[in-house]
Amino acid sequence: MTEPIEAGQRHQRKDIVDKVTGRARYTCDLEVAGMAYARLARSKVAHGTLKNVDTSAARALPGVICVVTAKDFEHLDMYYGESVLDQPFLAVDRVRYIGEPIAGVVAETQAIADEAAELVTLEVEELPILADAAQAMTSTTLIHPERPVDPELANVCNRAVFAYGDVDQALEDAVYVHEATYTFPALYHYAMEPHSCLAEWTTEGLEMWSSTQQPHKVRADLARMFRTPHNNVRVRVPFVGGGYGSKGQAKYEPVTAAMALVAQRPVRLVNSINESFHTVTRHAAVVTMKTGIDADGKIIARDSQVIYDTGAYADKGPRVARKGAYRSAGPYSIPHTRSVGIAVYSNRVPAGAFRGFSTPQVVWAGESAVDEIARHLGMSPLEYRKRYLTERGKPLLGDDAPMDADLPQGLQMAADAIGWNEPRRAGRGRGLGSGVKDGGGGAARVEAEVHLHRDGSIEVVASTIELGQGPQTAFAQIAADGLCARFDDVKVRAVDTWGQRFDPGTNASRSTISVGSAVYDAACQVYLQVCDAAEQVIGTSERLRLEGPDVVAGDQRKPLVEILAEMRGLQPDWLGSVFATGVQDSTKGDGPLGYTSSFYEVGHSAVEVEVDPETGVLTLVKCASVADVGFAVNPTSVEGQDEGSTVMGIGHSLYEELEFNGPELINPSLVDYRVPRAEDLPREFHTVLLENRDGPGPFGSKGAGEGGTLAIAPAIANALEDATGLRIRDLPLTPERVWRALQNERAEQQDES
Amino acid sequence: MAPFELHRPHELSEALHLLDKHGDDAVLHMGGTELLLLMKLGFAQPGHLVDGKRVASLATLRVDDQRLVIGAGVTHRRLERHRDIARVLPALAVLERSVANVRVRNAGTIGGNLCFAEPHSDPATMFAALGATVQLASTGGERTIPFRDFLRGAFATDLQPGEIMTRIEVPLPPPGARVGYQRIAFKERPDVAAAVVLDGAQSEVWVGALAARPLPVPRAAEALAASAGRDETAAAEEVRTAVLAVDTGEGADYRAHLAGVLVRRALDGAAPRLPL
Amino acid sequence: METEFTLNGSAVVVDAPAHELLIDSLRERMRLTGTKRSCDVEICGACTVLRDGQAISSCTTLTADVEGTDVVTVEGLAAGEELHPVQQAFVDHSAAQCGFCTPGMVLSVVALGIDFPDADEEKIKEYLSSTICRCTGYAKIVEAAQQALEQM
Repeated sequence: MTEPIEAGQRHQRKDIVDKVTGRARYTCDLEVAGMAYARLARSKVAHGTLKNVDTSAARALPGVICVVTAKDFEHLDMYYGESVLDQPFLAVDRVRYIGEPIAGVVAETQAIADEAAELVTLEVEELPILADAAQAMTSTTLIHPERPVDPELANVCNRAVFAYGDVDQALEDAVYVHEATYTFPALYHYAMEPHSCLAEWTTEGLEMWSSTQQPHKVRADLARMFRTPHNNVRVRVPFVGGGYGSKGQAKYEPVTAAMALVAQRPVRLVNSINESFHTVTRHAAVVTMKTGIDADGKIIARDSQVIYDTGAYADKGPRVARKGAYRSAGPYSIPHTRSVGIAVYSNRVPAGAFRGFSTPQVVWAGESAVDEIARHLGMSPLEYRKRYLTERGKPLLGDDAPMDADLPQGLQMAADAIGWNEPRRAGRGRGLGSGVKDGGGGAARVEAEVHLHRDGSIEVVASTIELGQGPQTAFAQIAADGLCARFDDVKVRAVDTWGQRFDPGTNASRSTISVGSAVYDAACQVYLQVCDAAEQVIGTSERLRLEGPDVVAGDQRKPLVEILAEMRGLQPDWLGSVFATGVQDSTKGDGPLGYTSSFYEVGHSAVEVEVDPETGVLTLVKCASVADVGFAVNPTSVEGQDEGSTVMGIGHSLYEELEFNGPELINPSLVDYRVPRAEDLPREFHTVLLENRDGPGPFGSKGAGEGGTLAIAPAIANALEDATGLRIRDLPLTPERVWRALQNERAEQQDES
Repeated sequence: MAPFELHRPHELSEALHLLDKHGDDAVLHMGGTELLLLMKLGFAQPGHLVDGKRVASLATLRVDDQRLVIGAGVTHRRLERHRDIARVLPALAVLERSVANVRVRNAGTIGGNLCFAEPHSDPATMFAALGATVQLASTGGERTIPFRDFLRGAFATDLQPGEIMTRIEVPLPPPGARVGYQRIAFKERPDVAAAVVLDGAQSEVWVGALAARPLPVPRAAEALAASAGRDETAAAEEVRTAVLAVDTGEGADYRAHLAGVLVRRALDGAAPRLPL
Repeated sequence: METEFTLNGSAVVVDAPAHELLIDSLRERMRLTGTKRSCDVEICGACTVLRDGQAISSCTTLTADVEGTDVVTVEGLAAGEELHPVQQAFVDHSAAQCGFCTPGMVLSVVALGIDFPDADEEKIKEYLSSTICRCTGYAKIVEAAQQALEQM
């Protein structure tokens, strides 16, 4: 691999001019001739046997083209999901959460569709409502009676256990055992763009435009569900207005395709934000951890259980439970562990993937617990972690890949960035934490194409979705370096399953190292082909570079088109492009997850907070995030991702919480769901990129973008304890929660004196 | 949104006539920041909107050394940015700056805010504390009532069918009196607010945002008056007690405590009233 | 009913029902899709347009209510290929990721430049708290705003 020239530069994003001018188009902006408009009618009942969906009034409204229910699709396979396909695109025999789609209206205008959807009525025989996981776990009512029965609990969607050594014995041998329960709220991603789809059945098959992170998976889902071959389904993705996991696998594509099928018109479904709130969320979690240390203070045992409330349908719940269990052990190479992760159904909005994917919840617990242990030992939380964080090259868990990062180095950088050792003002405290998740990109075989046109312009065909994280720019930089070409001559195409290579999805921080590696491989192959041609035609390929239309090698410069024409014996007009397919294959390897983790995504957070004891308000005075990224292909984009993920993490640390009245979501809007705003930025806000060139991707890059969400919450709670002596184990750290904790502590102190 | 007919009178009398004519199927439309939201959500479906934005008399704004006379159609933006208000009543200017967000302030009117009577309204608390009066016009004539009486409860006012609020008159405390306002918002709307006027025997302490309408705490005002504004602790404690007497919801103890804190902070930040 | 106004410098007439919202006239009738609908409750600012130099929420404004005014959408900022200084600042500081908030955010900074041309960092953050971004964490947006204010 050559040294990067374009990669590593702060190149201007390829899409930024389109975005600042409003020219960038998203699914909700698309329009095709003859298009009709859709709106879904949704259940107002949380749990019940579906008796009848009465669409007669809706159908009678002038301008309504059709109203569909599950009855119209008995010949299809209506169910989707990630691994557990338990979610029908329209309720079939049961409704399981308030907001579940029960009918679809297609009309000539959006206003008519909206009005008609209000006229659909649902007849339901109510079933006992399981308002949350806690209630569901012990209930005799089963939300999914078809699911296998769990030995211990009711309504289990998935249970995963990872165990190493002998945790019970080790806990007995431990000199000190710390035990605590931590809670984490349900959250909504609040992508600015609501879920949107545009579907049309044409002579070419099903044409689907969707705001999705996983177009190939959606294509496969649609093919299966509509009982049609893959080559009859095409999924295209324009710009996506934010994903963060909320737009993974099928969501509204099946129902939009279904409506288009019956309407025999193109149908566009643009959900409202309220509806998006009722689509997918982050799992609320309850984490109990028992952590035992030896006489030196080293953690030798951890017995943990995390219960994830996965809501009414599985979505990515099973994988979340599994990953959460796996990551509960934390980055301390604990020899004896039992980590249990359980996804439990409830009659709430389904929970699925969300940036950090199971891990903010367990790091919230783990990095709080580690701090509590350090305090118990009278050790600095920084020194404790530096001593016991897994060293580079050492095993992390089981026989998975050894740690590929220098964790103590990164944590020290975060601490330095906030002036850890400087004297601090009264009323302030400092805290930090380290979060590690096994990075994505394992167990996949992905391909990408690079096309070098005869005029020297370059096209990259790679199935990573542009969600805002910048692959259209980063892949252009990577390809340019593989080709020894100029960044400005490279264009990365928007994603289209037709004729493009399979990729499981844009998630898990995997794209740079998997698809990006395939892009680099393809670019290098094309470069070699050009070198071959140059040697044949101009006798040299020494230090060959592509400069626009020209090939420059040795002391010669010749247009590429002439070289190719001569080599192939063709008129220039008859020349195609030079192209190659690159591959990245990480299917080999064994690990506890079934494959060897390709890298570890690491996020260190350090904060200084100021506590207002009168109101409980926490102000972030200083905040530093260290993203251990190996190599930043585009440092500006990586910083932007880390800043964004850290602020998202500040959201769940201080402000965000989905509130439920029983099973009903009562704050599905920005009025009562508080996302971070510009004034919430820490006064000093640092993002540090740690680039040790130790990742598996191009130029030693790793994946990034989720690290900021992992340890920010425990860092803040640790800082709160540093400032006040208070330990809070529930999120978010709202002013009221902090105030009450302070009050209780004062009361306790008074009782004691 | 359900269809409606939009009327655009240029004179107040015309607007009043239209309201009379269409009865409870008509509603006054100004900035639309509350009304149109309600209509979008389906909570209101009037058949007639009477757009009062062309009635010049509703948008007058006059500041002198004794009072503010604010047309009901004046936007929050104008109040926030008015130099004379910033001089004679900075607490009001700062309060207006924190209403909702800049877009709502650019379009929304003070009259709209007060007539909507949202319990969290910041201006309502301030105007109650200052003893403002409001003028209401109908085809039958005009009447003036104290704002404190105009506001009846959550989303409830004394506005009668066919009436339009035309202006709000805010008497200014004498130069040297201190006026302060503090609010705290954990989400979009304020959760607790405190307005304080320190003016000898005419002192006022009002708590807003947490009850159906702003809550006066005369005993806190008395404590301040008796101590020339120094006994903040006594005032805060009176406030806390008063809030607990009316706020019985979950978290009332926290809100009551906050109310006391905000009263103290409003006092600390209360600047002496400057002459114009 | 007919509403006459100036849109991005040109006189236009929109013939629409009285209850039509400005955002729908812009996006559906005039196919100016730069203005976005997100929260729909006037909080997020994705639908921001300028009316006589003032930021408003087009999702909660009647088209009729821009009669006789000067409306500017994101499409009206650039002069041909030359970007508005705010747009250029966003480009220079990479102050956009997914881009869905960007039209509204850019117009909010334009409005900030009109309302408070001397705003310092704290004032910028306070003012821009009227507009939500979920991707960037605001850091680069604030930097872009600082550059833009210097240049406007």
